[in-house]
Amino acid sequence: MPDPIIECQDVSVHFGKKGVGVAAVSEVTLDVRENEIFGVVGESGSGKSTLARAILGLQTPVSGAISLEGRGLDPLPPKMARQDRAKIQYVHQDSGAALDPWWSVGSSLEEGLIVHGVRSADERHRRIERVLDAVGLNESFLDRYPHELSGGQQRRIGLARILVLEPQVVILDEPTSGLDVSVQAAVLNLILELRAKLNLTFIFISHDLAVVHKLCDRLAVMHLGHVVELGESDEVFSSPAHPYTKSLLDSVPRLDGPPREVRLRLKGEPPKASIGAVGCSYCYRCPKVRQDCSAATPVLADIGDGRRVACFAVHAPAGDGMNRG
Amino acid sequence: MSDPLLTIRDLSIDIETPTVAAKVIDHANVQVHLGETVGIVGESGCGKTTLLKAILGILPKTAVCRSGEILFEGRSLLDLWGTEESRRIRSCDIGFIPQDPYLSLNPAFTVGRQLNESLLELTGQGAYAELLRMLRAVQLPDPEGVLERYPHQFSGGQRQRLLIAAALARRPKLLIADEPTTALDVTTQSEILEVMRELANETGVAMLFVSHDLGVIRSICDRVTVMYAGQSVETAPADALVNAPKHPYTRMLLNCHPGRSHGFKGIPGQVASPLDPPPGCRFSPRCPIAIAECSRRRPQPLHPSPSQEVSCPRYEIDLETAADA
Amino acid sequence: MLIKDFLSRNSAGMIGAVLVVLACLVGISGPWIVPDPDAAFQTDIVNRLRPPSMEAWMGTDHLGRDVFSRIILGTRGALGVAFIVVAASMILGVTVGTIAGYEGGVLSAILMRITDVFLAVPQLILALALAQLLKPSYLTVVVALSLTYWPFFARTAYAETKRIASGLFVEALFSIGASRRRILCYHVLPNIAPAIIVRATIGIGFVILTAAVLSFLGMGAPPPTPDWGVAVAESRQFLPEAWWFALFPGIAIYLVVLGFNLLGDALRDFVDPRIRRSS
Repeated sequence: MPDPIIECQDVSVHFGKKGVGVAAVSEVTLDVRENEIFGVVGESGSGKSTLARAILGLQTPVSGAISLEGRGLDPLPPKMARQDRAKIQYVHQDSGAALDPWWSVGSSLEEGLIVHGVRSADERHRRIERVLDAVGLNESFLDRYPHELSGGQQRRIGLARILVLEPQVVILDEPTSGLDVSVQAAVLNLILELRAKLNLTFIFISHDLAVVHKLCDRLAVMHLGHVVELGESDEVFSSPAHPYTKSLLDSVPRLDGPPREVRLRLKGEPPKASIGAVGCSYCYRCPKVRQDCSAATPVLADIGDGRRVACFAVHAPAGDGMNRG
Repeated sequence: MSDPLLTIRDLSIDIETPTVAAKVIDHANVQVHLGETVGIVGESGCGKTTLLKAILGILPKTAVCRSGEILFEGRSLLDLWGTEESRRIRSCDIGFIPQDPYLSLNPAFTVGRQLNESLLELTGQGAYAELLRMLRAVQLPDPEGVLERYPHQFSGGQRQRLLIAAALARRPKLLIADEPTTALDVTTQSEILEVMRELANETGVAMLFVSHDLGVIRSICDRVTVMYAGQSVETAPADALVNAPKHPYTRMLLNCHPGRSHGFKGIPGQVASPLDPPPGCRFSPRCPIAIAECSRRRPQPLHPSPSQEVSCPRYEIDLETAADA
Repeated sequence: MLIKDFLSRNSAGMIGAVLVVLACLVGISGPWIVPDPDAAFQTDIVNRLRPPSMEAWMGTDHLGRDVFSRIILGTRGALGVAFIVVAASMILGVTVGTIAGYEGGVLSAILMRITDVFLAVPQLILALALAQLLKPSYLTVVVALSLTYWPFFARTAYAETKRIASGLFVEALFSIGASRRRILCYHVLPNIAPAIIVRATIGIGFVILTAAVLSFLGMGAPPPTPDWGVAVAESRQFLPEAWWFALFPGIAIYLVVLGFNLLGDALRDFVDPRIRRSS
């Protein structure tokens, strides 16, 4: 098994104060292995972007530890944390808006290198040339401005801009959202290609379950700040263990299989993830809810084959009495 | 089959810019029968938004109808443009559900005031009772209380339910939905689709459902029209379309879905620009089985079966073998 | 290309641009194009208050000096004061505004409250008070107007910086580790430039007018410097008989102010959609 390159241990990120604040990320424990594509899926408000920001160092966790290649990353102020974590880079969801509209693509690409202290202009151009080639664009793009690029090209430039910095881990935030389905394939294939070519590790944040299924090696399912299930993506998709994962997968409109099947429907609106709340975050609409679900918070426990699930009903099926959480 | 409720026949619309006319819709055909749900599916630039605007009579002043007609219950909506009669049809007989429910509600007033006002004007007494009935039908808890609240007090899914209730309370004959679930999470989306499906069955309202997501379209529509760059390329029953697509574009589009092929497939090339569209079939420049004839003349609709219509003379030719040859 | 685009789309802006360019040309070449430099300064009591004629196109003033020549020579002063005032307030205001807008927190609050204090004092009164303390001269006018005009730039820069700084690309820069100074100087400043340029263009017209008012009230250039505001002030006693003495300097002020305002308005209309389209 490859070594973990990033490890999160009980990471919590809170916004606001206790009582009125929101627990955006609650005691998340996960490991990302070298050279894998690790998916983080969840609906809006599940805390997946906040988790990414915590790993990047842009958001300081209130508790927990994050390490990169076994080295613990100190909770520094964002500015210093970013210098400390230059090996982890982030590609924004809307890469077009993440480029300064007044700067040509070439200057934007070069700027990252200047910031990272690459003094020699030749070296900068060499790296840009190499990366442009890797993302499948040519040098004619260097003189263009962000608004002159198509959606797919913007994503490529967004990637290129990070890749010139030679990171080890790249966090991709919804890289295909807003792209037509006929265009997104090129971006996804590029990710696969780059992983092989540059030995990169990707954290892929997405709500598009079909894409995550095919692209990611492993994935974590998040719900209201908690990781509720984690495992190999093929296994999670073929036999989801957590009730939330099940209903999430059932909700995706399918192209194949029986149409309009009666499915498990989610009921009710999600509550706010308040700080210090006790109980499973999903118990308000879980079909398998039991008494102990609201009394304590289930922990993410191994159920074999590296699959981890946070659910009392899975840990100790009905009749077993005691829960292990 | 009964007489069509809505017929769009041979419709071409140009939008004039200071320099050239953008040929946004090119000889499009769509039909909606009583009680039927018809989907329009297509990627960016396929003209679906313009088509909806044309039906709703909200095209910009620069739009020019070059050919064809839009018939609603046998009367030409284009001829009625700007008259009191067309206003009546649009407000009473045609309901509209927008893509972003937040933008369609005024944040300064309670939803009850906004919904009730528009209803009272139309149907007089009994409107309030009908609205409450519809609010119950879309499964919003506490309908009376709902009307006292402001738009920001609802989640995205609840707002969409509100607008569906408001649209249906007028008892329209046709409901037009423009990507009504695109802004929503996947679990909320499945709830909304379920509600729309139930209500369509119960009230017998015909629906024109626009989306870029074939999975969504398949889960709610009886028939589907596929549009590409302003042309309607294929119409078929929803299941037939996803299981046995005919038009090369439809086939390639379906192959783009991650579950449908090995690896990630896209469609090479870019969508034809309406400013300078290719002659004949607009998909021909990207089509692997195109012949010279395709770019000479616009293909006439063919009928592989009575319920199917495809605008491609070469729909029987296999894409893979053609690409290999 | 951009300039052609701009002019073809906006006829009022075109008029403004023509007026501004003309005024600048006159201002630069004043001493060389003036028909008779001596007539602008030499007192000629015999020919005082002559109506417009072939010799003096715009008549003569109460000391027999050529009004036309004095208007031409006054252009440089009027524009010079306006440019210096706007440049000075722009530098001060934009610095304060961008720092306050980008940093946030206590520093921002302090800077913006100071700005508010200056904004709250009526401009003309502060300028008058300052001008009273100092000797009447162009420098006095420049100092007085700069001190009262910079808060407008600070406000504009503050609002624009806040908007830009909340944008995704600033966050992206931060996340690749760009320094604060780099983000401010290379990214925020160019992006707020259009708004500032528009503000400055309209500001020049405004400053010319205020400077004329100050001169009119005797706080401006000392005689015998040719000055439009002074000319209007002096002409008052001779109205309505010597209408030309008041009218022509007045028209000069009017046209230049109008030119800058038209140009500024057109620039604003032009700049806005372009930003929206490219984003």
